Amino acid sequence: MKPIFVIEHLEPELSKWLLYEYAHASQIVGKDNLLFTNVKVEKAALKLRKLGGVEEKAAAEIFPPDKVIVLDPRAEHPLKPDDVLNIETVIIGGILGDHPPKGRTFSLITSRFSGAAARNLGRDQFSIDGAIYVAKLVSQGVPLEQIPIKRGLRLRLNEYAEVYLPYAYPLKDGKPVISRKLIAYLRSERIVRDEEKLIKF
Amino acid sequence: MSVVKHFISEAKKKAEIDEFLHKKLEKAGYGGVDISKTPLGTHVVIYAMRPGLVIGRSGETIRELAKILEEQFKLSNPQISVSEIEVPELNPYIVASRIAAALQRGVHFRRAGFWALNQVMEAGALGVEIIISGKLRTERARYEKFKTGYLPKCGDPAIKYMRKAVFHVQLKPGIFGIKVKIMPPDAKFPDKFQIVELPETAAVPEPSKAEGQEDKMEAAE
Repeated sequence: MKPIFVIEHLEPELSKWLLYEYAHASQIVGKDNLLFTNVKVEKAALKLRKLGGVEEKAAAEIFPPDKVIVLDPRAEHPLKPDDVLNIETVIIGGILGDHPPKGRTFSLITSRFSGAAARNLGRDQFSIDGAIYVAKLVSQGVPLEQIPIKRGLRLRLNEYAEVYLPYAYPLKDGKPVISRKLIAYLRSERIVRDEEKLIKF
Repeated sequence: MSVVKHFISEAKKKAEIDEFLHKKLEKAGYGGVDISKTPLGTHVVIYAMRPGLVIGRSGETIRELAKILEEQFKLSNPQISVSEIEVPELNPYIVASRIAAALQRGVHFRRAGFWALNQVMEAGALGVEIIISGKLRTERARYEKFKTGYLPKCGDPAIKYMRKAVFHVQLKPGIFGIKVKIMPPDAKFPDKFQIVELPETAAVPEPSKAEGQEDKMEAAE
């Protein structure tokens, strides 16, 4: 059975960064296999409908706990191909993480979803699209240990500067799975202007 | 107390003093502290951009500081002297606090990082590295690193000459950390040397041909 991938939207705003990760996740699993839950703001729902299904309710209110797996870095056991055989839904937190992680997936999803199984993808913190890519491979029968990952990603801005993302990224054909649009955004002047607005107000 | 524990507690005490002075002397442009033990007590050198503010009216502030260092941090007989920072751009504390002030004014950290990088290099530093890390409300946590020049991270020159400072700044959308490392212009490296030519006066004159022939004749006789 092919599981549906659910992203529980937990950030207060739908920022460009988040949207790029969501769009890349939609590319990875396909629009029909992706559902966004907990989307309360209509403006955000409009944008997300282009990437997958959208629900205003939280995942815990929609799915029966025995048919879901929550991907939570704090979970005790790692995700195995057998875990995904009899479930319908894999839930991923729509969170832009801190470093070191604060454990928001646990406090905002796992702890509120009693009876749902939780699994981790190893000890590392993945991006949303990266976690979806890994979960998709595991659901296709690839063991977690066989998926190559890169810990930390350096993006050169110019001769003198670089951006470092302290997260784990799965590798596909030796290259990290990350949205090309996000890389371009991080290297551009647009992120500087967006963040300046945020800092000033 | 074992030797290891002794050095750890000494380093901890120094870090605490540094943190305390950082807060206390922020307006004076605090730029670091050197603590060394002498037979008479402890010699404390405070570096600041405005030494007058550290000393205070008729030495009032410095006496107060000495009292706090003695009672709160258990330094024996602290003798405080204040040294003015001649080139503020080469002091990592000052550079980090200037970046922090720029962030508080609403300047983006990428702009502030490039600006500080230029300032430090123009002041003559051999190398500089600035790392600004943090998380804004709507984004992932990340680091931005700005680096230029020659800046070895390990070995004797790095320990001996590299100047480092860490600064934290709380903004409305999140907290930022600023790390600054500067290699000052007077740093000496074992792998960088100059070949100095001997002065002309010290050159040994070559023997003339005639002298050489006379020597041979003498030897034949």
